[in-house]
Amino acid sequence: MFGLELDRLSKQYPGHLAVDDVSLSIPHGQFVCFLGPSGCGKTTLMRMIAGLEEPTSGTISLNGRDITQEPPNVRKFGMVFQSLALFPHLSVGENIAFSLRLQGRDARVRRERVAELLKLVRLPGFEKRAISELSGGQRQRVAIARALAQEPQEYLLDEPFSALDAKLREEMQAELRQLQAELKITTILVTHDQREAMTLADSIVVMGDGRIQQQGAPADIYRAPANRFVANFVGLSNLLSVEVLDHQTVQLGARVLKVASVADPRTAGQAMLSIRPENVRLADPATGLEDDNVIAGRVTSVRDMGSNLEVILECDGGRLLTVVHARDWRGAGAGDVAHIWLPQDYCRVLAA
Amino acid sequence: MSRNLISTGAQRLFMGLVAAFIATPLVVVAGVSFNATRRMSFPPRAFSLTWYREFFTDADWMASLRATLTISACAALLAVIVALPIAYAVWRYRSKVSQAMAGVGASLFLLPGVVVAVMFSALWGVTGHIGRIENVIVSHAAVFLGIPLSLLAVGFESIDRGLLEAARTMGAGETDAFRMVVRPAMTPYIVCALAYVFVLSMNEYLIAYMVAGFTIQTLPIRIFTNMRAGYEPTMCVAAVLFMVVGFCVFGALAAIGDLPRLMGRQRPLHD
Amino acid sequence: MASLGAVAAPSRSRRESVAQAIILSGPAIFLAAFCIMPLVLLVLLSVAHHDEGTLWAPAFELTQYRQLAEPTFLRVIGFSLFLAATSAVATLTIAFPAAYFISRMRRRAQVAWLVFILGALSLSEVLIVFAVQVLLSTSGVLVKTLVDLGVMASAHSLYPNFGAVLTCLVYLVLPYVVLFLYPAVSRLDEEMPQAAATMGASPIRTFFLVTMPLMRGPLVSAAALVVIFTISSYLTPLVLGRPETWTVGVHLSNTAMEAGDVPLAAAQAVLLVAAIIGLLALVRWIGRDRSARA
Repeated sequence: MFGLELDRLSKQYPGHLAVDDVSLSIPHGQFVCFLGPSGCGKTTLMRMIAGLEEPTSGTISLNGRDITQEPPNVRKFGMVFQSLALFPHLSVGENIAFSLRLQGRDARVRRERVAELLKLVRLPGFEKRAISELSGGQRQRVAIARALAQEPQEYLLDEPFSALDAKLREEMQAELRQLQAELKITTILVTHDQREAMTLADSIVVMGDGRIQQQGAPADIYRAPANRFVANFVGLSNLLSVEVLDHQTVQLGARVLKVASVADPRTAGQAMLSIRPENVRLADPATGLEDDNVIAGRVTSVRDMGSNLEVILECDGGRLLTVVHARDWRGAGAGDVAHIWLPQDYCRVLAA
Repeated sequence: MSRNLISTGAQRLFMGLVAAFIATPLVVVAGVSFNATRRMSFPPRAFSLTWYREFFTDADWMASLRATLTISACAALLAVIVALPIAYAVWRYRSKVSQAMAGVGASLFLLPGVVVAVMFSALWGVTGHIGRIENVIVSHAAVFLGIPLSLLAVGFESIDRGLLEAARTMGAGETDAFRMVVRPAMTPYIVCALAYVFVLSMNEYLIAYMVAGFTIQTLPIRIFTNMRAGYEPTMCVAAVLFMVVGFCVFGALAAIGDLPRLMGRQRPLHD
Repeated sequence: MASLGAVAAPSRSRRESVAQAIILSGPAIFLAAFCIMPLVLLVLLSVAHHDEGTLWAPAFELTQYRQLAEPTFLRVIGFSLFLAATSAVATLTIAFPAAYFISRMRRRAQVAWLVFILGALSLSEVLIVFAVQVLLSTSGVLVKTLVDLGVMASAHSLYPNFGAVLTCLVYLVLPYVVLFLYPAVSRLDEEMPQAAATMGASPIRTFFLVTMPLMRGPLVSAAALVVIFTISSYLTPLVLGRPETWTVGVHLSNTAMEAGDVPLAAAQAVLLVAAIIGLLALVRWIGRDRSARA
């Protein structure tokens, strides 16, 4: 198998299981994001891949070779740490050339490679600068360049952009994506920011409680969350308690609704209906109040966002958030009753 | 697994050797103190508490013990009383004067004990105030002033100024803010400084000897005189006493306060 | 703070400086009398006239300083420096890893170690020297073990000699150095050495290329601490060493207490203080922030 393979990997710390039986394969050249809330085990998983933590059980193999017992300095997966871990006693150039120095490359080769990498991260001519002279974004780029210098087989980034402000973060994300596309290097990025994961990754691994909750292309995960955790963590989701009647109908209060599918075929009885706010539509009283999937709710708040309105309604089974285009809203305020349509295709049923 | 086992094994071995190195002399002295015979031998031939009885009934040893405890307690108190306003001023006003005073106050601690001893014996000689117990107290307070100064500085720096300002915005005056925020935060550091100076003063030998050694025999002075004159098993009892006091004081400190933080660790320690 | 100050600037700063003057007046008197005065006196003594009867008489002569340049005293200085360098290297070799490991232990183990080290630190030099004496003596457990093992042909005392002096000095200063390094080592970012590892550095190269340079300032300061302690040590070389292994500290004390030449002792002390100030300046220069360079 060409690529990185994790097989039933677990990490037990005294008193808690950080990573719980994770199996995953990452094909060569992919950009994968480990996405999850803090404490979900994503960083531990990455550190095990780098060789900084030893798994309690399970194996890691690269291109079919078991590397579980290899120390980090033998694996040499380039890693960008959350703290960046740039060496303050070395200059920018010396930091980037660190791995080349360890490999015993001569000064000329090192100089050329450093210049080339600095150009790549758009910091040409920064070789002699001290780390303390750089801005946050510049340090970020030096860290990215430093981990690339050794031409790693796996490129690992642990929340590399979390310390940056929003604008700079977006710029850096775009640059990283472009860089990865150019170099075609297998990249794993750990993040708790779902937007970051959506914009960067070819494939997202959603983690929660030390386990993989769902894995797939960003759009698939967004469209079809596998469970409640994913629905909640990736994007906003409305969750209404329903009772499953059969594989395509559920009961919400007194109403029977048609749904796209029941995600887990074992789901029965009490379950959750999940629908994204942007998919909740206002029902047109002229045509469709009698449609199967129209329900009534009491408006509790309306927030005017300019082009859109965020409306929160109270209805059977829970609270419902919907985003409506300003021109579609007919001026109902808090306390009024509104009718909304939950299109069948967007209604997914998850285990409660 | 293997990789970690080797490195933790090597680490354990190293720390074990360090612990053995530190513990050996202490164990030897303690062992000798329980010896039944008069000979200085280890391991002890037969267990007995003879020397303990002798120590605690001997008027001279008891006088030394009293003098030592008096000196250490007073020196600790004096050093903290002098250091506290300086450290507070450095933190609160950040003035040049207070910083200079902190520098001067810490300077004696950096000087060799021998030099300080000569300095103070000359000072008391010049003033004609010779051989008095307060000489030792003041000298010790001056020498060990650096300890409370640095410990209290760490303590003050650990106080969140935002907290102080919050207290002020809630209507607390300067003294109220001090009482509500500063005092509780500083208590462990003050206790730690007191304990530290107490124990160091109790064990200090050279300055006490040069300043008032001919009239006041503190425990270390008496042990040293004994040592030069010939072996006396009761001195081992005194030595054990020192160890017990030292370990108890710092053990108690660890029980009431966050010792790693008191010793300057900044990052919080979980577990 | 700044904005608060701006609102009521004059009266407030006035009040603050009055308050500061009040709380600092007591400590200022103490410092003047018991820190500055003795130092001034020491300098005055070093240029005073040595008098057999009254010990010293006010004067201004440089006799004592000329005596410092005598070959015997220079040899003492030379030996003291050699001993200091040796004990600094030996102490740091033990203390640095020890402090590092302690700072990485679990909380309870850390507290236990700190109590242990503080307890050892607080023990009087007198006691330690005495204990080492007992340990190394002819009837001591160490000699017996060595004889039993056949390492030593016949039982004889393991002191006085250079090794005993060095061991005891390392023992005495070790707790200070471990505690001195502890805050710095506990601040060391764990991810720095890890980053080096991911770039292919073996643990040993990581130590020399990353950990040591990052700790350069504290390590140099700690070495200075050991040097100051060693050259001024008194009891250890006196009891466990021979006259040729006596340090400046021993000679200084002997000059003052046995020979009664207080002015010469003062001059020796002034020299020692000057040397220490020089050493600390050097430490500052070495430990300065390299990242400030252009």
